[in-house]
Amino acid sequence: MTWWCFAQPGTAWTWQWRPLIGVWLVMLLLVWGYHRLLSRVDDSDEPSRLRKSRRFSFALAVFLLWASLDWPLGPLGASYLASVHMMQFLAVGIAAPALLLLALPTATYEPLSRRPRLTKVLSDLTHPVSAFFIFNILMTATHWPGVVDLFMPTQLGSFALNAAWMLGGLIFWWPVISPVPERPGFHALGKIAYLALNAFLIRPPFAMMIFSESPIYEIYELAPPPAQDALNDQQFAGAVMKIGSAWIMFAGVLVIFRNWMLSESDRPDSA
Amino acid sequence: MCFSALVSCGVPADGGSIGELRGTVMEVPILKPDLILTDTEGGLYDFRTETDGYLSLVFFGYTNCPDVCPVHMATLAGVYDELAPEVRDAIKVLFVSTDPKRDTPDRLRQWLNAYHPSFLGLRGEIETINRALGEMKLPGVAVVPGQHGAEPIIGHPSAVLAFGRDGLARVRYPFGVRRADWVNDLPILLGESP
Repeated sequence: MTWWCFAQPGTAWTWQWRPLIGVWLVMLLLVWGYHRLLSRVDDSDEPSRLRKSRRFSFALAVFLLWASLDWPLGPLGASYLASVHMMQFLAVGIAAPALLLLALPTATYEPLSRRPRLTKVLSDLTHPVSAFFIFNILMTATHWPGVVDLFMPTQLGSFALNAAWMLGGLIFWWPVISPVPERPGFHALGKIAYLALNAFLIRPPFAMMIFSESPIYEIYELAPPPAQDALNDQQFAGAVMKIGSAWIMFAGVLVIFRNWMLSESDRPDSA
Repeated sequence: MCFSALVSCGVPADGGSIGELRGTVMEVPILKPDLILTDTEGGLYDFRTETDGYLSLVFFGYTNCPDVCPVHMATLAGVYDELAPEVRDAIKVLFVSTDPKRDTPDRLRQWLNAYHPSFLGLRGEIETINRALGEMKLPGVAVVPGQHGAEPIIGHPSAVLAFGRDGLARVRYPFGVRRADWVNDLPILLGESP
């Protein structure tokens, strides 16, 4: 029984459907957890439109996670195509974490005020500087050829990489999305700079994927069809990683800029 | 000249270890088999004569192969793009079909062209192929009938044999050899620096 997608070097791809029990369990756990959270947290003071958009964000996050990790994209990305692997990364490591944080009502954070130690740890972890380094170190490490080739051929290793992406993404977006009262100084301009810096940053795996003359990942180089030219696929994967993440970050910049302009125009002394 | 160059690179005449090579060095070198096949144009192809003076990379497989064959061919095609032209011109890649019934000359040519047009496709009777495989100390062809009406699966050796310019194969390349390994080894096998 396969519970998580993993690399199976030398195994021919077939379009025969395969269940991935672990992926379904994680999705069910997420839905159950969110339902439980909403039943415990009072979000009635939030406008109805905001509440709807939070639920929509959650549904979109779960859909993205499910579609990218379940069959066929899950096994294709784990074992055959580096470009699909990078699309999974965009979904699991960047888009879904942002959507999950957007799905949380503000009241979710209130219990934190009663747990100062946890708040301190969380504040340290999600400070923009720490978040920047944690995210980029995690992303670099989880795309390093030796790490990918070592972890991807086992279900546990593959799951660990996906979990690391998700964790890194949550830490990355926290300073931008979560309304943490401990950091009122993180102004919209700071958030825009933070996202723009990450959009433009050239991480080592991206440079290796684009500029290497040989395939850098063994699992994709030795993958039977539908993989064809491993180098072309790898370069496409690099482009997906860079351009895809930049687009998501720029979408974040646009939203922050729009909200900032709206809040400025709503101020009594404006106009 | 090639032989002395190989010796200078650490290839003993009786096989043994070759320091810088990443392929699997065979204990006893294998002599190029006396093998007459048919190429994709329908002409006779004398393996010994046609590959004399070249580094010949020989692989036995079939175009319907779902795993090993396409990976080996894609890897070698990628290697060709990385090699210097003079190195590339000194190498011949030969794909010998182990499924001559389905691998018609046109099908074989079309399939190989998808990887590299210079790769040679060869066909012969299964008995001839098996005799050559035996001479090369490789397992023979085994036909496994497909289940539920599916196409048969052909068992074949998964390694590429590299015959040097002197007609001896000292190194074999099993499934799992990477492009960087070939790029490292081919110039050494030709007696040049990697």
